[in-house]
Amino acid sequence: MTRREAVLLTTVFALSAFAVVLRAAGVEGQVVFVVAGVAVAGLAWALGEATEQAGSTAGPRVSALLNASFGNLPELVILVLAIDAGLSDIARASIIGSVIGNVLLILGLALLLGGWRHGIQRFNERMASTNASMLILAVVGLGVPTLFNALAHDTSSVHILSRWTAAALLLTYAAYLYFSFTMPGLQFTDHAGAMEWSRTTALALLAATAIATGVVSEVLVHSIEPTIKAWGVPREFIGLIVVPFVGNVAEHFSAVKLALGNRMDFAMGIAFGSAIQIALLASSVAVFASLIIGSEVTLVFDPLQLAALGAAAIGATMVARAGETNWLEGLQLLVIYFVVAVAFWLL
Amino acid sequence: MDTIRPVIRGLNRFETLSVAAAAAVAAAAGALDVASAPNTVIFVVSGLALVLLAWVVGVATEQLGASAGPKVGGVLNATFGNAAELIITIFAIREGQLEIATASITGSILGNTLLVLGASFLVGGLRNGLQRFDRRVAGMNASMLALAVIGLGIPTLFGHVGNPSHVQAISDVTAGILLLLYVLMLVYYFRTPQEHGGGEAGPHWRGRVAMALLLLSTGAVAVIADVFVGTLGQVIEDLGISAVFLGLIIVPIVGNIAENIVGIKLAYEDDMDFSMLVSLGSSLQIALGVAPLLVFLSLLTPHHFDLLFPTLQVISLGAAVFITALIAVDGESNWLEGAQLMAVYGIIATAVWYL
Repeated sequence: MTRREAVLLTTVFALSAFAVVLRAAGVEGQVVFVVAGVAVAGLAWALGEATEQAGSTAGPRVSALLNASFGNLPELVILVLAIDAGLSDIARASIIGSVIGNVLLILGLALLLGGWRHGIQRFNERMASTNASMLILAVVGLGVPTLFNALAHDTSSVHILSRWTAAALLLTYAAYLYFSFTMPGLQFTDHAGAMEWSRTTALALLAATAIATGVVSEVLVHSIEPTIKAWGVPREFIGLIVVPFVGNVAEHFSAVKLALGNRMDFAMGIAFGSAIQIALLASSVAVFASLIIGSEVTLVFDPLQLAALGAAAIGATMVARAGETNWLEGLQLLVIYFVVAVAFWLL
Repeated sequence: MDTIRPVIRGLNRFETLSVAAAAAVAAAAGALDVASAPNTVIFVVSGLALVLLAWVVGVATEQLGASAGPKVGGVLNATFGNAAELIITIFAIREGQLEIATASITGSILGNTLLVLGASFLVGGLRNGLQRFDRRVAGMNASMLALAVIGLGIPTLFGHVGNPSHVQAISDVTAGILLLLYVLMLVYYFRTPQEHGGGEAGPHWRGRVAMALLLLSTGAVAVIADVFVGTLGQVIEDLGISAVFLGLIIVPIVGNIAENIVGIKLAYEDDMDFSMLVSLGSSLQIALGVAPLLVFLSLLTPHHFDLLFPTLQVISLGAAVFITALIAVDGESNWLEGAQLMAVYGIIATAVWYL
């Protein structure tokens, strides 16, 4: 472990503890929200590092599986906790927000900065196309229950439709994982760095950060409601922009770093892989977890949110189809994100 | 078992058996209808008879086409390929089951572009890995399909926002345009040199036998379709299935399953170009050929059929065409893409079931 990593890890855990203490001391909600938000963002980074290190001792397949499972753990935890806290509208918005954050903000930033430094960047068109059509599938999956809810005379069966849809999405996600692991020449993860941490350190840190993520996310989720009241920020904006941002900051850094290193396959793999995981896995987890929790979440989204998701999927598809990127394409994606964010701020 | 010898010259044992089975089941369906058996029994038996007859029509068309050359074969396929579908739907319109007729058009297109193409990609991809096909043909089929969806969508949209009294006129004109386009598409296909005709073996039926079987089986389809459609109204009441589900899922399966199996089999044999011609081509035939024809043929019946589709169906069609186009234009397929298409079909079918 390098000195920088040690310092960062210590800071992250200190912040996490601080957030818990603030909550216990009954400090005002918005302060807790900010501290817990920064802590969760840090934990997401630590989780990514620990996953990568633990995976590099185990070979590419296991490593990819670890990445696929732990890569979005903070988002998943926040999602389930939000449903548990009765904030199912925030939970739903955070699914959409996380997907558009990945394919518009993260990918856009990576393309912009990478393209600015390297000019035209190329990537494996085949994997990118598969990813893009997975996203379109997700839009259909999340769109049909919404449409059904708007059109059906009897909306009582929208719960059942959501469950079946969630099952179909989950099944397709499993197929997607299996496909990515077995297809020759297609890989998500970057194995450039040799193992630096010992296996015990990596696994211990993985466990510690995962637990800390659970605890601090709980603090974060419970400070959402007071923060909305204190700041007067629209609920949609918190759910769609702020909460996903907290869970995604770490991915921002990795994707941009990879794009600056002209490794577009990996940069796009992070952005798309994460978006697909949220859209297919997290949404079905939300449905099934809510069944256990008791307050059932359906896959009925706000039309404007769904439109944003569709715009993101189409934008990402256009980029992925071309097989090469430039900085202007990155800017275009960022502009879509900006417009969507403004719309939700004013909503 | 050597006891079963070819009865008709040129047919192999399997073909003889299936023609005999089709004839037997069709006769049974007719007899049950005359004997006024329970409605559900007639529904199941006549449905099965239609599946078998559609298969016979398909094989006879193929054999006749093979002996007459690829161009005539293409015309024959274009005419008789969806004959069963067309006949069933026109009888449904005559019976006043307009909801079923409309849904069966949507269902055939969705079934071919999502379920059959998806199953072809899945089965073919699992067996053969990455499969390639002519991306130019696939791209053209996809854009043709997009156009067809626009054609079917505009009258619907107008029905929502415009003066309802003009819907019929718009629907008629649109149907004329779509039909014209279908003819142009056929002309284009026959004028474009084709590299291969699908890898089918040469004809082994005699032309006259094929012709006779084609006419006989098509005639039988017409008779049995009448019986089948007559049971639908009662089936909705007895089994508690909605008319839309019956039209969207059951009727297309009865009319198309023979073709569907052929499409999947071709993909399994790694002949993706021909497999996609069967699945996407059949969708196009339904959208540009059968649907407009129904508009005009329905003038002969007491009920008028308009190209007016429920909103969920139009949007589903749009989504299906979009994702199919996206997957097809790169000229390659793998099993995951097949699974994606089938997942979309599953989600849409579930929504329709509960609607």
